[in-house]
Amino acid sequence: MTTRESQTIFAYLLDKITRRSLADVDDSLPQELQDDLQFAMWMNDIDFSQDSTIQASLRNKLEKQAELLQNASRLKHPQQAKQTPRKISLAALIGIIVGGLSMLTAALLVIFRKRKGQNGAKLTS
Amino acid sequence: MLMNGLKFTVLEDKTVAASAAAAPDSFLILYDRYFSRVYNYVRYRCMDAQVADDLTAQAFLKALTRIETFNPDKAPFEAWLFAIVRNLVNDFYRHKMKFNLVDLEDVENMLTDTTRPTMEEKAEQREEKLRLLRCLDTLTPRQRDLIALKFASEMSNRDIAKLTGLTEQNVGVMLHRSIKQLRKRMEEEEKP
Repeated sequence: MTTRESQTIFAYLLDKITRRSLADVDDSLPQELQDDLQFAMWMNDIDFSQDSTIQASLRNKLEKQAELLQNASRLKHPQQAKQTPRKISLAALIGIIVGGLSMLTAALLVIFRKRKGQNGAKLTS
Repeated sequence: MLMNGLKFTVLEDKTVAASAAAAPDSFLILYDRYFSRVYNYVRYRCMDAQVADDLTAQAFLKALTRIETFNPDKAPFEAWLFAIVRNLVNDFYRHKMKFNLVDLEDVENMLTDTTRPTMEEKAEQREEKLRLLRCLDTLTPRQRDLIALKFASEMSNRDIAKLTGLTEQNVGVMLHRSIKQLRKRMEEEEKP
């Protein structure tokens, strides 16, 4: 077995070891490779997290921090809603302009007719 | 996943992370899922248990406050999380190296300290961990980082390559060499 082949096999089997999907090392592999893999298996079983004294306290701290973040985001969103001006859609804007124009036209029409009526009355008198 | 005849759906990390951005309390699911792996990674790289505790706490707090920046399209959650943890440990060592080196004599005290729960473990296991930590300290920082990523974070060589900027083949070769070296050191330590 060449060094490259041996390294490829090792990399493949090491992946299986760290994912805990390899229970035994194949006897047909070269002894050196078998020893390295057995050692990797032993190392994979070592769990330092059992030594940790912070797991529960850190969880509590994170829980409180998460609560604070959640409250902060609740407070932040209504403020943002107040601060940001409402957006008007294009259709609404066109509607407002058209409405405004038609009201102006109607007002002008009324004034024009009124004046015409007054002028007509003056002429007949 | 079938368990006791009932069907459980394990939510994917990215789904939980996405909901944690809106509802931070969902982050606790990720904490429960990743605590051991993160702690193991930090411990593989730090001799001091107290420092490992502090760095683990900092890493999770940082991840929680930055959860909104996680983008599942860019990288899986574990890669994102371990990038945070790795940067913290690297920063710690960069800072530490400026002032003083890690006190290696503290290691034995940490593992045999009667006030710590490690006392509950068997003496043999404690001795094994102690030997492993001593031998890990003989590796280069890069070798140690790769070993920690492989055994603690359980990442594939491809993911480790992405995180470290090495090629996948390089990661494989360096890991094999490091494990070989570590095994030889352990054997030497065992000899009377």
